[in-house]
Amino acid sequence: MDKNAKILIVDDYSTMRRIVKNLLHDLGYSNTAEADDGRTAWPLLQASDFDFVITDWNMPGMTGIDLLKLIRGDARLAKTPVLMVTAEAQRDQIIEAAQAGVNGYIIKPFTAVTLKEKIDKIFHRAAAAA
Amino acid sequence: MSDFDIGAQRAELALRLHAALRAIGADDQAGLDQAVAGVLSCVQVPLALGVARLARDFRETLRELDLDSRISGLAEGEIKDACSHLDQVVRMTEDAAHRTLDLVDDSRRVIDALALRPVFAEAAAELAGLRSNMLSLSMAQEYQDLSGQLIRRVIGLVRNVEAALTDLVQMARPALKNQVRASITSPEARPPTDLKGPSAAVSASQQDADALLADLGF
Repeated sequence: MDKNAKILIVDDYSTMRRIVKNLLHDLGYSNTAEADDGRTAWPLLQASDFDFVITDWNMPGMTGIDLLKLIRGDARLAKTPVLMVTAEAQRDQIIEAAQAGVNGYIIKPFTAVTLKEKIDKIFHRAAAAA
Repeated sequence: MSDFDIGAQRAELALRLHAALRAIGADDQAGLDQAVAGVLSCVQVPLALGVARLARDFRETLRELDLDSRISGLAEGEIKDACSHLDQVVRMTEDAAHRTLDLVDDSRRVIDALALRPVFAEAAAELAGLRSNMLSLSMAQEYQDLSGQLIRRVIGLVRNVEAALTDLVQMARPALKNQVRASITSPEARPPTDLKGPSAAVSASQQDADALLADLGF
């Protein structure tokens, strides 16, 4: 995917949003926006054309899994790749995310290498499917 | 419950049941409803009395053990302090993480600017190493999110305990109306500690501390 890809970072912790944003910038993706939970992310997603969503799971307001389900249920947004970056590491949670249609799942704490791998994989698949 | 009470209750129940049978025989719906309600109340009253007795015994026990003042001391004092201390830990780590990330952002800008200068051409590898270190520094701030989540979970748990204790005290209070209750803030209830640790509400700033030390001749 091209480096101008517009990416939405959703996490209730502002430090985590900055860390992910820094990592993305290092990988060459500088077109990013931020939201602090699913409820604030949803209007942004509807108002703009995001190529990719990175979201936490456990957030007040609306959780990442509910946001994922909303995205998958929306005609225009349904195919947007979603990467879950979360401390939720229970097997059944990962399964739930997969069943809801997540494109990648990163467990916190994570490394720069892991994030790069998952993003490359997701973008590679998106390009192959296009 | 005495034998007399039980006998009286049974007689009452038999009366209501007969009334119900008569109402069925006479196809009297209103009479049947009334009789059935009477049967139900006969059955329910002993249960209600039992629960009331249990609650009274429970309050008595709480009073005898003087748990009321100890629990209200915990619920209204120390647990609230504990929660505000934990909230403060989350805030402090968040501030520290942001400060670190600010410095990382600034350092990355400096490194990128230096990399563009011809004079640093020979130091490209070292600059790349520094940039990589900055990324690692940024990643290391992840602890703030994870520790924050853990602490918030503990705060939730503590608040639940606090609510349960407060309910317990509310239940116990009617039995204590005429008792002299120990003051929640009495020294016995809140033993003083020598070490206060970082305080949430009333803490001196660095300037205050410096001024105090200066007054003392340091």
